Amino acid sequence: MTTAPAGAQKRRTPSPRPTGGPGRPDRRPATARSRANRAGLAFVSPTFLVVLVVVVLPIAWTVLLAFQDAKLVDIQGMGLFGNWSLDNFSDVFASAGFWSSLKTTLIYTAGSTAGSVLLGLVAALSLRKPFRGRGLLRAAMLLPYVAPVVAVAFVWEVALSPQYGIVNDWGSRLFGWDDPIAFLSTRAYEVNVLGAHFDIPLALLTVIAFECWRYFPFAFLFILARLQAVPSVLEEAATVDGATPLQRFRHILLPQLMPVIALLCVLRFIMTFNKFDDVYLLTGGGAGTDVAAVRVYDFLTARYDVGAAAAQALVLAASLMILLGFYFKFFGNKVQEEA
Amino acid sequence: MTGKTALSRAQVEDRVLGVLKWLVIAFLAAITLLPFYYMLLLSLKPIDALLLDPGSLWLSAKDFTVSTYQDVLRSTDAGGQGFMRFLLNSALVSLGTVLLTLAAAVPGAYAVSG
Repeated sequence: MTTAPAGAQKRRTPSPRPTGGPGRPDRRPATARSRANRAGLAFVSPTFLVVLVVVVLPIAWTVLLAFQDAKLVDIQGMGLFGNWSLDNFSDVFASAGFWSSLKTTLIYTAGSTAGSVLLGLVAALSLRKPFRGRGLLRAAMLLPYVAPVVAVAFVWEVALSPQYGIVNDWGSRLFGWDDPIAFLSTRAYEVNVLGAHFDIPLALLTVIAFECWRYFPFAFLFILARLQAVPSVLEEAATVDGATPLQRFRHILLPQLMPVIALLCVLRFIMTFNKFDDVYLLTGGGAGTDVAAVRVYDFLTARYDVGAAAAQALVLAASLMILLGFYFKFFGNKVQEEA
Repeated sequence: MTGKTALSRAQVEDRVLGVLKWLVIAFLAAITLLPFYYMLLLSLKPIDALLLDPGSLWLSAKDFTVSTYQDVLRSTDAGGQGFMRFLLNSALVSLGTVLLTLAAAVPGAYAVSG
């Protein structure tokens, strides 16, 4: 902290003014420290400005809009303050489909998070020991993550299409499906198992599968990096002591991976909870996949109801905070261990 | 009785996991590579070939076409979709983002790291 020029955060008590007339401006030559201080502030100001304009102001405006009756048409001439009301919030809570959309979001987030972390763990473990072509395969694991979402969503849409999709074609050939299955537009698919009827939310499950597929490389990368830092002596000692492979995983490897898995769960949960593009591209929010982020967008673009959209976004953020609060209360030490 | 000693738990697990591991690797390779192979396949055949035989995993020589690429890359003036223009736009956006981010972040980081 002392080697580089004094930064902006350095505070110093102002030295007493040099003697001079009360009306005269301060003509005292700037000391090196105060010059450095001023330079530091000048250096920070672009960053501060960008954060203010891009992050702070939009959030503040969202909060303001959420408490006002704002429609897109009259938003230009509207004052920032005035006509405060909680109408938007009562509308949001009372509106049809709000609670079901929150439930959908929760299922979607929990399913995608668990699925992608689990698949990433399995992938990292199976690609751990060297074999021919491992490097190539490890690189291939990253493909779903780095490919543009529009491209992969399009491929899934075509592949799952009931008219010309490859999945339905092979399904009818191999498994004898009678009717093509519309994966992305079936709200409830009826399944008969041993005479019992089940309705499974097929479109939602498909979207979750897409999310797991697209983001398991993220978990894979984290876990693989942690696996490479695991000292091999522990496992060797356990092997000598007669531990079976599953016991070695359960008692040696898993405890060491737990912090990174906990961290991954937090990260994936936050990202998936706010996820918009994947669901919107695949189903447009139809067929029981109306997650909260898509709903906010619909409020904004279909109903031009800015206030309700802002209120909904705030509710979304608040529920995420509450969930994360619970999470950190119970697993916080694990996450902090890694981060 | 076979006379063989019963397999120990470790040996059973070793064998089962040894097989399972290759199944998992094959599954992972399939889910990561097949969608992109399918994407390539779709791009190289005309739409009617897809509609006629949606399940084909191969490209027959008579269906092979690069006209899709030509159409996408040709400029809008020449009746194409002008994808080069979009690529240029993307490049400009990303370049501008990088420059602006660096311009805003580097001085701030320098000052704060003092």
